[in-house]
This record gives sequence, structure tokens and C-alpha cells, in this order.
Amino acid sequence: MQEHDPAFDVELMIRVANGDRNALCSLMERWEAPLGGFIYRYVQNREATSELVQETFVRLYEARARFRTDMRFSSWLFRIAANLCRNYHRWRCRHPEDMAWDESCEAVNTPAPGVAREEADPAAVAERREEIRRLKDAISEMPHQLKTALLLHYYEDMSYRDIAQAVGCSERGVETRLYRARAWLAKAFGRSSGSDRSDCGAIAAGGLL
Amino acid sequence: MNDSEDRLTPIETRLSSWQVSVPSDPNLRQQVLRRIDIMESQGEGRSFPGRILDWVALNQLPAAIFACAAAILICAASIFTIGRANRDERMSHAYFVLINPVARVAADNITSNGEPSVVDMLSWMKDRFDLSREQFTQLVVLHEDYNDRLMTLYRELSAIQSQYKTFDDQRMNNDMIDFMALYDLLQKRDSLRRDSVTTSNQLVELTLRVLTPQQKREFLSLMESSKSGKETPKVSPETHAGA
Repeated sequence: MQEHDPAFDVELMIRVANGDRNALCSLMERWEAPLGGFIYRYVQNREATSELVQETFVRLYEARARFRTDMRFSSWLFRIAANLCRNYHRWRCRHPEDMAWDESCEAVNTPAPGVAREEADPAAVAERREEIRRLKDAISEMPHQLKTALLLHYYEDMSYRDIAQAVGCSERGVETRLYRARAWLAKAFGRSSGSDRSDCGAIAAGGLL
Repeated sequence: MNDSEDRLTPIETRLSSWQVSVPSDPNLRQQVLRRIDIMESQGEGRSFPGRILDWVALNQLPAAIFACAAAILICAASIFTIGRANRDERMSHAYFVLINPVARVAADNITSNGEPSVVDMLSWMKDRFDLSREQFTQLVVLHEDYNDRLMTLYRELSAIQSQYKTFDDQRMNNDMIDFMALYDLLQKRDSLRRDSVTTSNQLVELTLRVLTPQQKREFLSLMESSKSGKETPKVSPETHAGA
């Protein structure tokens, strides 16, 4: 995630609360990429991502009077985005024919950490593409609370405290949600490949949900 | 592989393999600002509760005024409800006394000018039970038919009551008691009371026939609360079933 100065974000948000639209433009410039990444991973559709990023900033402006300076701006922003994503996901569940998955934003050819460059041949790429498809399916089916915590922690690099503010629970609650999210993924991968023994063991020991 | 990558669990390795790069939207600023302009010019764009929350957050004083106004409205609604209940109680009791000569004699001062008349009673019933024009007309005719009979019974009972009081006063000052006269007086009073109750019951039953089931339930409920232990027109179970 791009580095942001939390104090400067708060300062910009206070200016937005006072009606400064230049400050809003600055926030859009600073946060468009991480916000887009989060939303794309949640909804897994490029068109929807573009619309939801716009909607998030509009809602941010509408709710500017309720921004609390004791809260991280990122928590506030991702809280709005997560709620919009959940609403969108519910709508899509009711209208499955209206939207299809797309992979136009994905860098499948980039080897994951721990994967040697030499493996980036067509067969390896196909295998990795299949792995990512299974990961996306598992995340897509994950409950909203687990999915939000997982995406914010692993992809936006947010602390437990910031995630707790974003999702409205305690830090201990975030820890529990992340554990359950990992267990969910482990079960999903275990079901399809029988691998990931360590995570499956965690499920057996602690239960899934 | 470096050290940090070695520490990744299989799940984290898989998570890190999903890299996305969402291209920047060149129209983002323009679209967002345009939508905000439209929203602010039309006062739309978000739900009513959301606008209320923003408004309250931005305006502490209006929030206080809003809270006061809400409290006043709640108080006014309570006063109205209590006022209506009191009026119902007063009017239903007055009506009960009016159609029941026995209770009317007991009340003793029902003929004073300040008390509601039959017309007042029926007007109240028209509003209270939301009577149709036809129902109201039928009830007016019905009560007019019974009015003379009820008034006669009331006067006779009043006269008997007066005679009984005179007799009682004499008894207190005279050792001689005319038991035969007392017996005749009490017999006559009991007979008049029975006639009164019968007549009142007839009127109530005929009134119930004019009312709808919902109106009957409310009417009977008010009558039950009005009689409160007095000698009353009794509504038989058959009448309830018929209602």
C-alpha cells in the first residue's frame, strides 16, 4: 500500500468538512489506488470497482460532518467502501445474470513471493491462474466480516486497531475474524487439493466458525 | 526466496500471489465533483435519515430545537389521548344515567341544566362510534320513542323516593310505624325499578341492533365501565351473541 501520512489525511478531511473541494481532490489522488484494490478484490469486477470508488468518495463527502478526528482516515474510508461493497454483493446475489467476473486488473504473470522466476512458463502460469481462481472463489464466498478483515489486513496492510475501527469491532474481534478467514481459505483449498495440512489442522483444532 | 518469504504460510503465499493493479480512472475527480454538485443543487443523493444525521451533526442548536419540538408533540399527543378518554368516560356515564331511570334517581341531580341532553348524547355517539347518517337517524328515532317512557318512569321513581324519604323522616320522629304503608311503598318502588330495568334493556338491545360489530364492542365496553356497580340495564348473553 502507498505510504500515507495519517495526520495529513486528517487535515485534508477537516478541510473537506469545511467545504474545501481541493482537499477532496487531494484525498482522491492519494487514496484511489488502495481503495480501488480493496474494492476490486471484494467485488472482482472492474466496472463495478470504478463505480464503487466514485460512490465511496461521494459518500465520504456527504458524511464529512460525521468524521471523527480521533479515527484514522483510512478506517473511515474503508468503512464506507466495505459497506458499499456489501450492498453491491447483496445486489449481485439477487441479480446473478447482470454481472460476470472479469480479470482485467490482474497480474497473473507476476510470480508470487516464493515462486522462482524460472517457473513463469506457460504451464506454471496456467497452474498459478488456477490457484488464483480458487483463491478468488473462496474469498468471494467468504462472509462479509471475514472478507473485509482479510482484505484490509493482507492487502492494505492495516493494523488490527485500524481494522477494528473500520469494521466496528474490537481488536480481539479482528484477530478472531482473521483466524476464521484463514480457516475458511484452508478449508476451501483443502477441499479442492487436499494440501495445506497445517491450516486444515487449525480448522480441526479450532472449528471453522 | 528470502527470509520473509520463507516465513509465509501456504495461505499467505496464496494470498500474496493475487496481485491486482486497478488503473487510475481519469474521470474520477470530474465524476465525483459533478455528482456532488447535482446532489447539493437538488438536495438529493442520500437517504432522509442520512441527511437528518448530517444536519444534526452540523447544527447543535437546531438539534436541541428539534428535540424540544418532538417532546412537545409527544406531550400534546398524550394530553389529547387522556382528554379523549376523560370525555368518553364522562359522556358514557351521562348516557348510561339518561337511559336508566334507577341510576338517574340515584344521581338525583341529572335534570340540572348543565347536564348533557339526549341530543348531546347522540351527537357524542355519532362522533365516538363514527356512525353513518342512517345509523344516527335510527338511533335518534329510537331514543325519541323511548324518551317519554323513560322520563315517566324517572318521575314516578323520584316521587316514590321522595315519599320514602318522608316516611323515613316520620319514622325517626314517631314511634308508630305503618308497616302496611311501608310495604306498599316498597312494593311499588320495586315494581317501578323492574319496569325501568326492562325498558332500559329493551332500548340497549335495540340500539345494539343498529350498530356494527365493532361499534357494539366499543359501546358495550363503555357501558360496562359506566355502570360500575349501579343497578343497570343488563345485556343478556344472547344479545352479545347476536352482536
